[in-house]
Amino acid sequence: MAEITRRHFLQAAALAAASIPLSRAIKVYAEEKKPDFVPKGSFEDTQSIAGGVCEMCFWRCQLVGKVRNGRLVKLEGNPKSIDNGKAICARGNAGIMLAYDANRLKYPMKNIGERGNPKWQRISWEEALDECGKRLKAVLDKYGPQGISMFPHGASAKYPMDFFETVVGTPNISEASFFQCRGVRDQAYLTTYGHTCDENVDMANAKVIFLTGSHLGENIHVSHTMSYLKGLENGAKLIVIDPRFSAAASKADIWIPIRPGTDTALLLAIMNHLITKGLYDKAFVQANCTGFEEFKKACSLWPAKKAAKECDVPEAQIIKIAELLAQNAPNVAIHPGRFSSWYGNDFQRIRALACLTALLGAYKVPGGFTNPISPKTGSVKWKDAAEPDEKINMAEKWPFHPPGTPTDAIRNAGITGKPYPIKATVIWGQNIVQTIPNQAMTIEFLKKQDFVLCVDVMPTDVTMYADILLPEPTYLERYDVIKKGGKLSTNGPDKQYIAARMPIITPLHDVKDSIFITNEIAKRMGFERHIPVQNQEEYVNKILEPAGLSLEKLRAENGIHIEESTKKAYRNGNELEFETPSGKIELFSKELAEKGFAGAPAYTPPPKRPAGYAHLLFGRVPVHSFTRTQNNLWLHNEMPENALWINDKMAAKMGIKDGDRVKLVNQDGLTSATDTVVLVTPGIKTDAVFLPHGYGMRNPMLEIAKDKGMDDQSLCSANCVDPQTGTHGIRANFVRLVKDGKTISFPI
Amino acid sequence: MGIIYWNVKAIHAIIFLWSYLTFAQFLKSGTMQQHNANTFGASIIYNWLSYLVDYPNKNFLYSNEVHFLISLLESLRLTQNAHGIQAFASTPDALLRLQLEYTRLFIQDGKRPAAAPPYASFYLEHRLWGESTEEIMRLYKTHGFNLPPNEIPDALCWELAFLAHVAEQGDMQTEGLMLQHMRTWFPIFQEYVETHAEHIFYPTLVKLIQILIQKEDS
Ligand code: SF4
Repeated sequence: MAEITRRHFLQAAALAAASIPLSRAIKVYAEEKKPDFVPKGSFEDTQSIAGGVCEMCFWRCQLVGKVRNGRLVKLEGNPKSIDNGKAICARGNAGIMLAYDANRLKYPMKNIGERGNPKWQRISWEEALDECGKRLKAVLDKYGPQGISMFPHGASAKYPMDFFETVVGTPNISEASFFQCRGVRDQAYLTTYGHTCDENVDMANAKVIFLTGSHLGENIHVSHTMSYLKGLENGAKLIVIDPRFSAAASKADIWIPIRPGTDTALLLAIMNHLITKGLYDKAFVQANCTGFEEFKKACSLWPAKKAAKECDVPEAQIIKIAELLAQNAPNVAIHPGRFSSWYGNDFQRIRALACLTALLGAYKVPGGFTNPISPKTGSVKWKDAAEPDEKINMAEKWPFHPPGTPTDAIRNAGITGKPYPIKATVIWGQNIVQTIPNQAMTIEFLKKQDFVLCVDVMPTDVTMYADILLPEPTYLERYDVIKKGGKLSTNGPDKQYIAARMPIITPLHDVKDSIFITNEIAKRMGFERHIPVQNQEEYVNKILEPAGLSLEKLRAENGIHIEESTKKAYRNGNELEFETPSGKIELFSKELAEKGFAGAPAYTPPPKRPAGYAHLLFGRVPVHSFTRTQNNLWLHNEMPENALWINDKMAAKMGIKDGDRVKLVNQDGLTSATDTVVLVTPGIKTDAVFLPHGYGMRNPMLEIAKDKGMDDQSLCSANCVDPQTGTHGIRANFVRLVKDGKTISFPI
Repeated sequence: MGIIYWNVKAIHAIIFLWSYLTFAQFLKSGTMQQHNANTFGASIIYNWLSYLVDYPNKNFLYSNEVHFLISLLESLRLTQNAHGIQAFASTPDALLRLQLEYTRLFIQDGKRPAAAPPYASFYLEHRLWGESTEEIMRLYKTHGFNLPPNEIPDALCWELAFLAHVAEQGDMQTEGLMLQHMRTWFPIFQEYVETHAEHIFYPTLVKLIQILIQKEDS
């Protein structure tokens, strides 16, 4: 008999098993024998805790956390969410490593060294709060409320911000989200439509999506990106205006590599073509807009031919875009953008975007500028609160400014003492060294203060300048924000949701939440009677109450309350109302004209590029959004440094190769502290370079982020302030390369 | 410098003596006294070290714990360390200096990341609350050792406190397990402390801990 091989054996066994089933008994037996083994990375035995709201960026996706033995093992999208659903992005996943970052701020600290060169002593909360109360009160008594300024960021800073504004009474509050980011956009839409906008335009149902300088797809906001991709999936045409071959440009039907900063001229030319060819939505404009004649005149200043030259775009492309938009109107999504503070001529650019939407009738229609309707909730107001005295308000110089006071005005006052001295500063979650252009001025401002308080989760470049540094819980350990929103439907009622941020894990170390910190400081400054709530839970419950909700109810609903909306976000017929002075969409704004500005969108060329220099463009990458994502081990490993994009033709002429290491020097002679690697690509205009934002931190306490990559903000020294809004244009900077100590000019 | 005199037995002998002299506050429960003085002493020593590696607060330098440290160092013929700490403790700003040293070494340094974060997983996984931390937490749980939820389980002071807890119960097996774990990360920690310390207090302390956690036959 032939030798039995393994194969024979298995074949025979399979035959036998077909008549005598073994599998069940074996399974039971195997189950008994299973070792008590939890493989690495497993989620076995985890408990799911719903109610988290992400803060790795500002989009606030709803989360569940898987916790085992007190350890947060994984974060996921809350399956109940109608916003992000089960999905979260890379940063969202890496939130765990923010909570568990070894470099996190853990205890209250006193700086007994100097600002910028600190020597830290751990002190008790009692001592820290006493010191804050005493020093802030001293400045308040000597210089008045205007002697204190505040730079807040994020949900935890809202409560202290309200305290400083409405109880202490200082108008000198500057949020980066307004003055260095989207404030100018909000104000431009407010002036045009009587309400602000957000970037939730209805891309999912659009036939054309129109993006200017967008980093969609590189800057991930989960539901926003999903809506964009849904639109593309459904066949939407994509138009991308960007000097750089961005992620969006790579998906575009039409990509316009425009000359940086000239977008308004292009938009005026598109609108001029729509008007002169009669391609705009006449009925909509007639019924809903005002100032058409003046507006038409303003557009006529930029015929396609002239704009083509100004913007370095073929004339035919401009016409093609106009016609594509007109053919698909009103289902076109003119994206208002997010980061909008570019060249200090931004208010007019965004006004042009807002007007383009109106010309196409793309307002509150499927695929158009239709922001979902959010449910109503309440608010917490400090007792006996009042608005700051108008007489001390510097912001009035910029009549269309977003809430707060332009950063530049605050910083100048702090440095020069004019119109009055600013002597104490409270920095809460914002890294003003990396958000505000001109770092040298910011540092001078900080050094001139009598007292600097920083509250944050991580050390940042600004926390080095604190006198007292207080640690907050991460977003995974606290209550604060109520995230709410809606979901449009083309064939049924819209939906709405409310989710409150609830802790997934207990706060680590010795951190305290912002309600506690603010109340304790308020008491020590003599404002105890104004305190509206005693703790975080009470704060959130008060906001939830008008919606008939509470933390308890939300918990029972797995963190999210969802209901059908009684109103549709899409308009029916044409009966629209606008809360503008005229009650109409203001293509031409009398208010603007009366205050000495162009009433219809107007193009001001951006600061001129000096010969030999390239525009310094920057933008997001999917792994970073805030200063506090920079030191994140997981995110850092995905992209340890920020490669500098240089046009291939330029690189060849300059003798620069892919992979070379260079520094940058800007128009004011500032050189980057670190170098970075070069990416040679045809995907950028010859006269520009691109550097991803969120690198090159200087704080030596950051083990991972310190000196990794290059800090774009350190090269942004041009003080370019938008005249209507006081917001900072941050893209008006120009650079040359420095390689091996030698400066290399761009041959243009 | 005198290290040759050091071994676990010597320490245990001192503990034996000492446990009759000080730390009445540890003589709390009846069950404790059923154990022999040796294990009981080890428990006190662990607790004592746990106390010393925590942030120094008011009166720290005048505490029995620091006095005991000095006399222990003398008995171990580490006279230089003993004198160093004694001389230092009597300077007027000693507490502030010690606090600054602690902050700089273990929490945050103005000029670099904290030199030696006192958490095991920092050395094993370069993060806090890693998989190794969870293992430790599991070990704590099975031994009814509960710590406040804001605390990091594998922080040095907690690992020492846990050692005290199991030593007190005479559970030498678990004590051995914990010591084995500590030996995986403590040497790097020790090296960082020794390299970056500005004066003698913490290097002395980590040296003592190293002796205590080393293998019996080494
Ligand atoms: S988009 Fe990403 S980082 Fe932003 S909130 Fe959602 S999960 Fe978090």
